[in-house]
Amino acid sequence: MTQEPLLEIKNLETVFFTDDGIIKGCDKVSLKVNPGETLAVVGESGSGKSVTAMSILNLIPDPPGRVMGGEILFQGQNLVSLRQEEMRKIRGNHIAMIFQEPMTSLNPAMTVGDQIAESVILHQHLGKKAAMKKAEEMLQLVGIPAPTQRLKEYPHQMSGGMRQRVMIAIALACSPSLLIADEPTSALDVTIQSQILKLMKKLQEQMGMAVILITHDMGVVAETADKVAVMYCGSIVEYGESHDIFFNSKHPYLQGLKQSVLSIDDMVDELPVIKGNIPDPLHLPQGCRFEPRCPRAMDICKKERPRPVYFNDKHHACCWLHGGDHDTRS
Amino acid sequence: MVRLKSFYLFMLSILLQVWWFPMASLDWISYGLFTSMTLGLGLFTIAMARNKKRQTANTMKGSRELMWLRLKKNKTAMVAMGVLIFLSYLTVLAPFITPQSPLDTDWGALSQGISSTHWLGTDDMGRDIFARALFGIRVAMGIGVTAVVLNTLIGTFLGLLAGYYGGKTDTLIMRLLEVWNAIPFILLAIAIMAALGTGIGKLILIVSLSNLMAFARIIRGSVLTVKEHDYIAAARVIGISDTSIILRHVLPNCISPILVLASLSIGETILVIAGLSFLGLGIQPPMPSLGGMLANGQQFLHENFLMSLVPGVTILLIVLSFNLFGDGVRDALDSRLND
Repeated sequence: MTQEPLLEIKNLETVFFTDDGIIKGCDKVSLKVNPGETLAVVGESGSGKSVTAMSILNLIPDPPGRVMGGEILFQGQNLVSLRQEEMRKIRGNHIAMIFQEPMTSLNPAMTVGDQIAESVILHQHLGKKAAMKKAEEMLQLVGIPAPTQRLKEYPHQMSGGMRQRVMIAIALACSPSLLIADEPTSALDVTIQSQILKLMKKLQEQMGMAVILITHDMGVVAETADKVAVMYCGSIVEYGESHDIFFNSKHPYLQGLKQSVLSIDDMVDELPVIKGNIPDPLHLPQGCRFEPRCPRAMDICKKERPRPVYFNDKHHACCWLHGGDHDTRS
Repeated sequence: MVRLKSFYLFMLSILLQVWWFPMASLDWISYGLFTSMTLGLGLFTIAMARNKKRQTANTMKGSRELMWLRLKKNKTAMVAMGVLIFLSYLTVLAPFITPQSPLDTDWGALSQGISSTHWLGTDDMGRDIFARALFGIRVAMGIGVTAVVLNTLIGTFLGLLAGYYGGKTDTLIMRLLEVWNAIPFILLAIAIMAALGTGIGKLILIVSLSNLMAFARIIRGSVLTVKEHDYIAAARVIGISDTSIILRHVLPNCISPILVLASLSIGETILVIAGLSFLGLGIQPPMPSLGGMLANGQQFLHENFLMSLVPGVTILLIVLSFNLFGDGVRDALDSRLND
């Protein structure tokens, strides 16, 4: 495939300067997203998933954070070097984002219609009336009944699932080519979860946009993703097509993650978990960052950080288990 | 119920307007104000009626309706609101209500008691106490409300900037305000009056600037909590500029502390102005002022107690009503926040 990627992140480094020291939120993260495909970013809390997303949107709060190196190429434009005013034209218009908490992501003092219309007015330069009409269409599209009436309602009059639908409507109102969904279903109950995922999938096919899905739910990943990037402590430890990730995983961290998902057929007394916690970001291990928790750690893991090992064109992992003697294209 | 009452009030206002129309040349500003107040009342009535309709169509209520419903249940606040509406009508209609001028001296009737020509008697210079009190309310309410509006605008602006941008902006604004707040108020008032002379404009300026700290600090506090909410991040994500985020997303969510503080501080401001006038620093004679009347009346407590009783009771009524109303507003808004 010689397709031009929609978004390409090269060696992104996002750093936070705190009173106690320097924390690397993203440490040499490289990603590629093609038009129309879904990339799932998986990892524990604090592994740098959301920091990567915020870096793409150039919304890292400064101070304390800053993007120190690397490039984020979106449709050939380097987002890192853009000024805020230029960035504002991209946000919402070309790249949109959905947040985790539908309960708090809507402004309680504005009607739902106004909130959807706001970005339409801003980016498509429509009048108030046309924007409200567009908002009504969007509500219809995301499957909210009686959209005309709902337009005039406030967020507190809606349920969590409906609010998440409204969030999706806001994000998609300007037909973006990339949608970043930051754990869009974590706060919803399971039936609503699958509805929302199906809706996102349907709209993605309709509008032909790419999706970056940030999640820690392996079930959601299996259901939706084309490609998966597994993050640990700010860097990508394994990356590949979702088939490879699920049936041919290489990194012990990912293997541990998959084991800790309970299947209904398993009769286990104790859920297998990955022992220990994510290391303190101020005092990261010198070698492989997963080494202190890794069941298969070796001597070399303590000393040196592993480089990516390629198993096929797209599938790679950073682990010494698979040796340095493979082809190590970077 | 409210709809019905306000409808009658509206009709009464129209009647009064027709009645007073021939006198309009006497004071067209207050006549205009009266007309606009009446129109406002009419609009309010219509809005209430439409609310009623929507309520029957939809059991869910907007936050504003909920607040109004809670306020309506609070009897004290409603009485206070009634008194305030009554007082503001009195204020606006002052020249129509009393035939006496507040400035004219009647040398034939010095320091008199209640009579049919002078409803609440006259003071030591033969001026009509009722007229002076009425115009005194006018001056006090005018200056008080103007000062609080100014104060709210400047304080909110500074608080929003400090809270939203944080960091150096925050430090600069808040430290400067703390320095400003460290100067004792009366001292400041005396100094400014001594340097620039007395006058209504300067009085408003001093009173409104002296209370900036309270506003800026409270608004900064609520901006700090509001700006951490996800919907602010969501607004940033759709590419809205800082100015619109502050105006459209932060400010409306900080409006309740602003409202409460403003309604509570009107009473306080009126009291401060009366205090300054009592000391001779505020409104200068012969302009009628409640504080000035009180200062004048204390010399004649034995001869004519009406001279101090009338302005005293009036101040009490205004300040009490504003405070009770402010308390009611706070309760109504607070329980909305607690939901």
